[in-house]
Formats: sequence, structure tokens, C-alpha cells
Amino acid sequence: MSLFSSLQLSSNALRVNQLGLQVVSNNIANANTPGYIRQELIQAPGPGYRLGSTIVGTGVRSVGVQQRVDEFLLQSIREVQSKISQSEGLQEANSQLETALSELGENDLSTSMSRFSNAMQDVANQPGNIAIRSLAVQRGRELSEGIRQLSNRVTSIASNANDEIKSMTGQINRLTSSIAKINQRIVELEGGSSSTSDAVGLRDERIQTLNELSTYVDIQAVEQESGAVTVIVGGDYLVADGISREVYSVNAGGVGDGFAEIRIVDTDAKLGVTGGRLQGLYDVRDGAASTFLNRLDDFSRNLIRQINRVHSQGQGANGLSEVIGDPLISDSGLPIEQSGSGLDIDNGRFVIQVHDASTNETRSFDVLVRQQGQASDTTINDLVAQLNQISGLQASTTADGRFQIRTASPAIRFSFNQDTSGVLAALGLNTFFTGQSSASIAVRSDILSDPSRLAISLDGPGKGNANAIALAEAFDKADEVLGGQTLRESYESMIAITTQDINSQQSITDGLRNFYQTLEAKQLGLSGVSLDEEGIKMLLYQRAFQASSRVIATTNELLDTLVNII
Amino acid sequence: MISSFYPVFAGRVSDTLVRNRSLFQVQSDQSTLLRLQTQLTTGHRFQNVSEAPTVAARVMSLQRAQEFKEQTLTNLKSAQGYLNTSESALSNAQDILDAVKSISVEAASNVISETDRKGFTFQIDAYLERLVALSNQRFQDRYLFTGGDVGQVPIELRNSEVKFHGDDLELLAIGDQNSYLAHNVTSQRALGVISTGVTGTVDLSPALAPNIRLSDLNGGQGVSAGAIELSNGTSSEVIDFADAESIQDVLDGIQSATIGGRAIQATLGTNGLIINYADGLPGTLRISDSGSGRTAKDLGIATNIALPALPITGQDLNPVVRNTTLLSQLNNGAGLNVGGGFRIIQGQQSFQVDLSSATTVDDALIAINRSGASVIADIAPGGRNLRIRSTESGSDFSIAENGGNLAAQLGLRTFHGQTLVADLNHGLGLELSVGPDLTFTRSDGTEFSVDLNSAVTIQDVINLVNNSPDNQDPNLRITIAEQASNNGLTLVATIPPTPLPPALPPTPISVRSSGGSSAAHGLGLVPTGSTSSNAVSVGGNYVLNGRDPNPHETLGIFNTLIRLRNAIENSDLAATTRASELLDQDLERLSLARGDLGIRQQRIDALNISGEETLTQLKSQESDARDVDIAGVISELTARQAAYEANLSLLSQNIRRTIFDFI
Repeated sequence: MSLFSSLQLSSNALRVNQLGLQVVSNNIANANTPGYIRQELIQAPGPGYRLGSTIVGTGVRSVGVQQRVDEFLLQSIREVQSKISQSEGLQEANSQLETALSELGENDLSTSMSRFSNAMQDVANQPGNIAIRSLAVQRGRELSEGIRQLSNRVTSIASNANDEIKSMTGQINRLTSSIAKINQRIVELEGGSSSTSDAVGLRDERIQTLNELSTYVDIQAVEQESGAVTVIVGGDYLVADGISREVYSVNAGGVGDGFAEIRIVDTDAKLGVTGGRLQGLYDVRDGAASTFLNRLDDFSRNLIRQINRVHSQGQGANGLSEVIGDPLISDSGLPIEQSGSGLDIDNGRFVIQVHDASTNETRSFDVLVRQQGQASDTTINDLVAQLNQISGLQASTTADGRFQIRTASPAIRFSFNQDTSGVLAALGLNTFFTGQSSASIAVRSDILSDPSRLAISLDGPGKGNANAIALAEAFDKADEVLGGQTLRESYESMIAITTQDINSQQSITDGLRNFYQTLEAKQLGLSGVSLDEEGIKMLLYQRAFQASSRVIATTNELLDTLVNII
Repeated sequence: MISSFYPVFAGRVSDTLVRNRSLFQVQSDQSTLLRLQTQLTTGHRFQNVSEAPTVAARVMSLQRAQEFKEQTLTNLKSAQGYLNTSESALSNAQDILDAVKSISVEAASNVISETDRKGFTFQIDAYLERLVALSNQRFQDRYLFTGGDVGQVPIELRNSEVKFHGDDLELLAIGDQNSYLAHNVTSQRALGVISTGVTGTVDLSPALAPNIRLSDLNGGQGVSAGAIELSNGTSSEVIDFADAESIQDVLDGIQSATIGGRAIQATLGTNGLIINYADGLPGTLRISDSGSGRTAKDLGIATNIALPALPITGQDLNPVVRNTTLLSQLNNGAGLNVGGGFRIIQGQQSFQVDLSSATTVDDALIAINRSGASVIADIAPGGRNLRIRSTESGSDFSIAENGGNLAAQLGLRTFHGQTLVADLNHGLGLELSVGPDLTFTRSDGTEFSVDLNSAVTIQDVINLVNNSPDNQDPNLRITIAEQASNNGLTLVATIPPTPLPPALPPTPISVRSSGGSSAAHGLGLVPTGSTSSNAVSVGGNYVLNGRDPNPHETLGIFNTLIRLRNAIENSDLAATTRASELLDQDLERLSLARGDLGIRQQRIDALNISGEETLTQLKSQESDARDVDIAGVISELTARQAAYEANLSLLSQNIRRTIFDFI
């Protein structure tokens, strides 16, 4: 032990305290840097040595600079972040869906239904007024357009989600590539020692990048002994050491442009996400939007069916000279229900009345529609044959699968009633709406161009208003197909279920945000910079520095004294 | 939406945590303030359904109810307009009838001059034209009294008759949930333009056919949807007829069953189903309803005994007649003998109805409607008979044979043995005296009389005359009967070989009323204005054909006015008196129609009031559910603003202070 060793010891202390001040100043400098993790200088006493019977210390030494971070907490935060991103993706779509519905307003579908029903009541009030019939037809068009618009908007929500899924590959690849590169540099800098975190700035950057990646996909980040982080998604690693695996998007079937899914280039396996914005977009496209669209399609089909079943049995202002159905028939030789898609009919019959203006005769004919699940059930060809037996009528199927009935002479007109089979509505004969889904529902063009075809009568062409009343009430008639509900009730149920889902989703998102904030508070408490704390540390380093300087000064005086003795 | 909850962390506090927390609090406060401001500006507690799904569902339901209620008020207003105009027209019609009534009273009670008579007829003609104009009144889109075909002019005044071209269809409007009210008055209800008509008295009883609807069986009551059970006592099979629509479906269903390995055969009897084992061998076959259904009972094949006799013969299923029913199916499959057809007589015109080319009931109805007569032929309510109604006012209407007996087969003939004596002569019946009413003069000049006081039907009259003890001499007997083709009675007596003792030549038989009775006139045997009628010689008989004493007519104001005018013109006091009485019925009908109108108008008023009240309640309920409590929001906004300001102040001070301020 010598004075020189004391000088050396104090010199070490000065360096350590300077280092301490540097760490403090770095913390203070980054006090407002997002994602910055505060650092601490790790100090340790120098190794002692034996001097005679005494063991003497050798001062202080800096072991390293360490980030104050809880990896478990960070992983938890990332997991919650993934869930929030997923949930927020859904919530964005829900918000768009709710805007599209615009229920409680003046232009929603429920109001359109009321307007159509009310317009039919106006027709019943003034059955001889053609302008009011035209208005009722327009109200029907507004309703069908409203449904189509809603369908288009919901389809756009799904389609936008699909587009975003496709574009997400770039973001994921950029982030995984970045993490791989940082891994490499951390390993190089730290040399495989994980006791300290020397590559502090790089680690901050990596944490930030991992956090960003967790907003896209739910990741499992595991730090290796080398200091590198392995990033795993759904059991497949995306980053290991300095290597990242790229992902790409591929059309995996579905309608239109195809439903995109993200796969790993190396394995061509779907990226097994369960959270993150990507999962949120999958949920929007394949879940929320698709589910709502299915519900809307069901509702639209029921609306078309219900209104058409009522309308097809009625008569307009004049008899018909021609009706052409929808293009549904693919095989005229099979029982009607199997002859095309969506042909839902019952065992029954309908009555067709044929009026010959030249003789002023009106005759009624029963047309049987047997549907008993037997080989002898009525086929389209049977129907054609039955109608062709009626003098003055010519029935046929067109090349594009439409059922057609025409009169043989201009003096002959026909009308329908008492259809217990629903075959007229199913084939699109004398119907109001055409289409099979929410995207295709429309008022038939022949009614739009000639509102006198609006079938408001049940007692013969131009006689009475009974069918206008029935059409007005069609929305409020319980239907077995709807489980005893009315059309309106089924629509309101659809809205209630959808909005309950949206409400539940909001609650889930709020809950996740609260949980995230709890974790974030913990993480910020642990890793955030406290200026007060840094100030105190600064004072301590300052004082230690001053004390060590004083030790050097004192030692120097002692050395002076010794030197002056000589 | 930002939650106002921010977790409090009890560990180390960093500046970043403080900053985050501060930012969160600021955002939370701003979000709350924005929500309150939105509530104030919109007046609504929530903007999106998802914010309060349960309440919003209620609001949607309330909005729907309001939209419906507002429309019903529009319906009521529209109906009120039509009914008010109709009431005004009917009020004018009543004034006219009152004026005509005074003419009829004067014409019936006084000896009037020729000038007066002409004056009265001119006046009645003028009133008739005004009534026609009133009946053809148009309002907005429609002829008020035409029925369902609103563009059809209802009344046509042609020559001396009025023809009706509309129908009796009511136009309904929705007044409330499951509540409807007619917003038109039909001519028939108010004015009387369609005769009560002739409804067939013979049950046409169609035979069963495979295509008959199940809903048409049992007189139109149909068959309950359900299942039946076939059993031989040890094994059974249930056949579900829930989807069955026709007899054919039932036959197919039963024939698809196999009981104890034996196939079942189901065939049609004339009126019911016949069920047996297909092999025709003996055995036990029971048919019952499955569960609590009544399909087997409705199909008439339920067996109530342990060992029913085979084959099981079902009960008569009584299908109703439809337009598509074949004529050959009628009369239990025996069909009709349409030879000769029948005639419809309106006024002086006779129209032949030929059904020789008719196959279905529809064809028959078309043939009747197109015969040229102003009639409406259809299937009578109940579906068991045909019905023919006249739409012509001012003329007599009857249906008679045309050489065959088709009218009788259809039960449509207006004069027959079962015609009630009281119904004759437009319901005036016969004016009988105490004692003999009819006196016949035989071909030998001797007389006998008959008392008709006990006669209820025409057949009774015929029996009383033919069975009279004074009318049994085979050489001199006068036989009374229905005419074969024309409606009316006929008297026939054989012209005896001459000379008869006491060597006088035979004289044509004759008939007259006796003892103050008008029976001979009332039975159509003696024309009005004559005291007796003599037979004419036809072949070897004396024959006296009477007129139709039972013509029908269209009871209504046009009929009455035309008949009154004709009666006054012909100085027919009896007819004038009858027309005057008919006028009373017309006034009563009109009053009833106006009363009904008044009731409907009152109902509209009541519905209007209750509708407005309900609408107010619905709006109030929607407001309760959806609208914001303004005072509450303002006070909350004020409190939030104060808290926000305090928060900002505190945060700015706290963020400023660190240890460096004290070093």
C-alpha cells in the first residue's frame, strides 16, 4: 500500500463517478424519448489484496451500464398490445359498419321499410291514382337501393381489410429484418455476455421494433444467451439470431379478388397469428363483415320471398300479356325445387285466370305444383305442359333459364291468384323484387317502367286494393321461415345482435386498454427516467467525485511533504 | 372512447409515467367534454346504436310504431275525405227521395189529372237523372259508388232501365294494427243496384276427384293438417299429411303405407275415400288420428271400432264447387242434362243460356254472364250452389226453362212448386178472402170453387185445386200445374165430345177470383184489369196459361223511381202504392247507409284522437329513452370544465417542479 496506490484508487473513483455522471446525463437527455429505458451504472468494489495480515481494497470499478427493464413485463405488454391492435382493427370496421347502418336516423333501412309500407297504404287509400302507385314503386326502389348500398359498404369494409392484409407483408418483413440486423449488432457488441446490456441504444431500438411488430402480429420474443432475440409467431420463428424469414400474401380463394392470407416464404405455411392487427383484419374480413353480410343476405332473401309471395298473387291495373321469371332454371326435367338454386316451394297449386277481351270471357285454371319429395313431383316441364294446355297461353323456358308465359293473341290477358305453392314467387313470375341477395335485390324493371303492374288487387285486374293492404302488412306478418318473427322483427334482431357485438367489442377493447395502461404504468415506473432520481444521483456522483478529488489533493500534500523532507 | 380509469401504480414513479398520466387525464377530460357537448348539440343521449344497444332497440321499435301511427292518421284523413264526399252525395240523394216520396203519396192518394200525371213523370225523370249523376259522382281518383273498380262508371241510364256496371267490393284502409275500415260506400249498400238474386236451391254436390283441394272439403272447412295412424292391432304406421294439399296427396300417402307387410290401397268413392288392403283379403285395419289431431276425422276415415268392416268407406267429404269444377262432377258425378239450357227474362226481353258446350262451372258462369242479360252469375257463398243476380233496375227478372229442365236441376228456376205463396207478386202474396178464393168454370158451364187459405206453397195451390172433391169428374176435370217452360201456372181440361147433356156445346174453361179474393190475379191466371180468363183450345184440350206471378227485381232507388214513374204514367194505383212503399225501404236503406257512414266517421274521429294520443305517448317514450336531460348535462359539463381546468393547473405546476429547482 502506497500513496501512489491511493492516488490510483482515487483516479479510478474519479473515472467511475464521471461515468456515473455520463449515465445520469444520458438518462436526463432521454427523459422524454419515447421507448427509452433508463440506464444505471453498475459499480463494484475493486478486488482487495493482502498486505501482511490486512486485506486492502483497491477502490471502485465500473462493471457496466445496465438497462432497467423487466423482460416479462415487456412481453406481457406486447401480448396485450397485439390484442389491442386486433381489437382496434375490429372496432374501426365496426364503426364503419355502424355508420353504414345509420340506424336511429332518417335514412336507415328500417325507415325505408316503413316508407314502402306506408306508400302501399297510400295506394290502398287511392287505388285509382297512378302517381301514387309510381311513388310506391319508387319507395320499393329506395328500399332495395338502401339494402344494396349497405351490402356494398360492408363488402368494401371486407375488401379494404383484405387490401390492408396484402400490404402488411411489407411492414412485417421490414420489422423482422430490422430485428435480425439489431440482433447481429448486439451480439457483436456484447460479445455474448448477457449480464450487462452494453448495447443499450440498440436494445432500446430492438424493444421499440418488437413493440411495433407486436401491433401487427402477436409475437413471442425470447432473448437468447447471446443477447439475440428469437421472434416466434404461432409456433414458427420469424427471427432467429441474425436471420429473418420473409412473409408474403397469397390469394386463398373466396370471391372476387380472392381472400388474401399471409404465409411464410420458406414453408408456404399460413402465418399462425391469433392477435395483432393482422388477426383483427382477418376477423373483420372473415368474421364481422362476413357475418353481417350473411345476416343481411338472409334478411334480403326473406324480404324478397315475403314481398314476392304476396305480390305474385295479386293483380295490377290490367291483366298481363307476358311474364318472364328470373334466370334460375338449370334443369327443366327435375322437380322444381331441384331444377335451380334458391327455388323454395311448397306442395300446392296456383290459379291462373285468362281473360279474352274479344269475347269478354274470363276463365280460371288450376295449375298443380306437387312437391312431395317423390319422383312424380312437378317439374318445370310439367308446369310448361300444364300451362300450354290452357287455350291462349304459351309457356316455355328461355335459353338462360327463365320461365316465361305469353299470350297467344293481344286480346288475351292473364293474372294469377291463390298460389299456395309459392312457385310464382320462387320463379320470379309477377314478382316485385328480383335478385337473390343483398347485393342483387332490385325492383323488377317491368314494374319500374310500368307502375300499373304493381299488383294491388286480389279480386281481378283493377278491382279493389286488398293486395296493397297485404303488401303494406307483409313486413309485420309472422313467418315460419323466420321462426315466427316478422320481417321487421328479424331486421331489428339483426341490428340488435350486430350492435350488441359492437358494444361487446368496445367493452373488450376498453378492458384491454385498461390492462395495457396498468402494465404500461408498471413498465414506465420501472424503466422511465425520474429527473428527481437522476438529480440525486448526479449530486451523489458529484460529491463522490469531489471527495475523490480531495483524497487526491490530500495524497498529493502528503507526497509533497515527503518530497520536501528530502 | 377513452376510459376515465387510469391505474394507480404504487411503485417507482418516473417522469415518463407522470407525463403519460397527465396526457391521459387531459384526453379523458376532453373526451368527456366532447361527449357532453355532442349530447347538448344533438339533444340525444347516444349517437350510435352500439352505445346503448338495448335502449336503441327500444327507440327503433318506438320509431317504427310512430311511423306506422303517422301513416294511419294519413289513412284516416284520406278516408274521411272520401266518406265526407260520399255522405254529401247521399244526403242529396235523400233529399231527392224525400221529394219523390211526396209525389208518390200525392199520386197514390188523390185522383190526379192528366196534366198532374205528366208533371209527376217529368219530375221523376228529372230526379232519376239527378240520382244517376249523383251515383256517378267522382272524387279524386275514383267514382265514389262504383266499388272496387274505381275507374268504372257505375250507373248507366239506358232507355227505361238503369244498369249497374260496378261491384260491391269494399276498399279498406288500415286504421290501426289489425283494424281496418272501408273508405268507400258501394252503390249496392246505399242505393240498391243488385238484386238479391236467385241462389240455386239444389245442392250441386260435386263428386270427389283427385285434384280437389283439401281446403275445399267439408263444405270449405277443409282438413286439419296432421298425421293419421294405420294399424292392424299389432303393427302400425303413421302418415304425415302436414304438406298434403289435394285428395291425390292423401291417396298417395295412404298407398305408401304397409301394415304387417301388406300394402294399402286407397281409392275414391263418389263422395268419400275407400281404404282396404291391396290384396283384398280379410284382416284388421284401423285408422285413427295421430296424437290429438283430427285429420283422419276430417277425412271421414277414422274408425272407432276394433274390427272395422273392410273396405273402410269414408264419409261424404262435401267438396265445395269451384270455377274449375267439371259440370260432369256435379250431382255426385251424375252431371247435368244441359239440353235446352234455360232462359233469363228481364223486362220484355228473354235471353237464352246454352250450356251445351260448357265443360266447367267457369264455362257455365261465362255462358250465363254473356247471355246478354244484365246479370252477375257466380258461385253462391258456401260453395254449394250457383247464384244469378240482376244488375238492371226497373224491370222484372226471372229464370225459366227453355224446353228442358236445366234451371230446375240447378235449382235456379224462379217459379216452382216450392215457391211460397207469400212471396208472389214481389212479396205481396195473395189477397185471400174468407171462404172460396178461386172459381173455375168447367167446359159444361158448371162451376166449382177452391179455398186457398191453407196453401203455403204453389204446390199446395196445385194440390187444393186438383184434389178438390168438386173437381174429380174425369170428363170435366180442370187440372192445374206448373208450365213446362215458362214460369206460371197452366189450367188444362179435356175438350169433351159434343154434345154434352143437356145437349149444349162445350165452352172454354175459365177462372176468376171469388168472394173478394184476388187469388186468380195473384196467381197470374187473370190479367190485371180483367175479371176472368178463358182458356183457348189447343189440340184436344182447353188450355189457360197464366203469367209469371213470381218475378224478381232489383230493389233499390232506381227500380223504385222507374216503377213509380211507370205506375203514375199507367194510372196504376196499386203499383203506385207499392212503389211508395218501396220508397220507404229505399229511404231506410239510405238512412242505414248514412248511419253506417256516420258510424265510420265517428270511428275515424275516435281513431284520430286515440292515434294522436298514442303518437304523443310514443314520442314521449322515445324522448325518455333517447333524449338527454339538458339540465343534467349542463351541470355535468360545468363540473367537468372546472375539474378540467383544475387538472390542467395542477399538472402544469407538478410537471414544472423537480429537484433541480432546489439545487
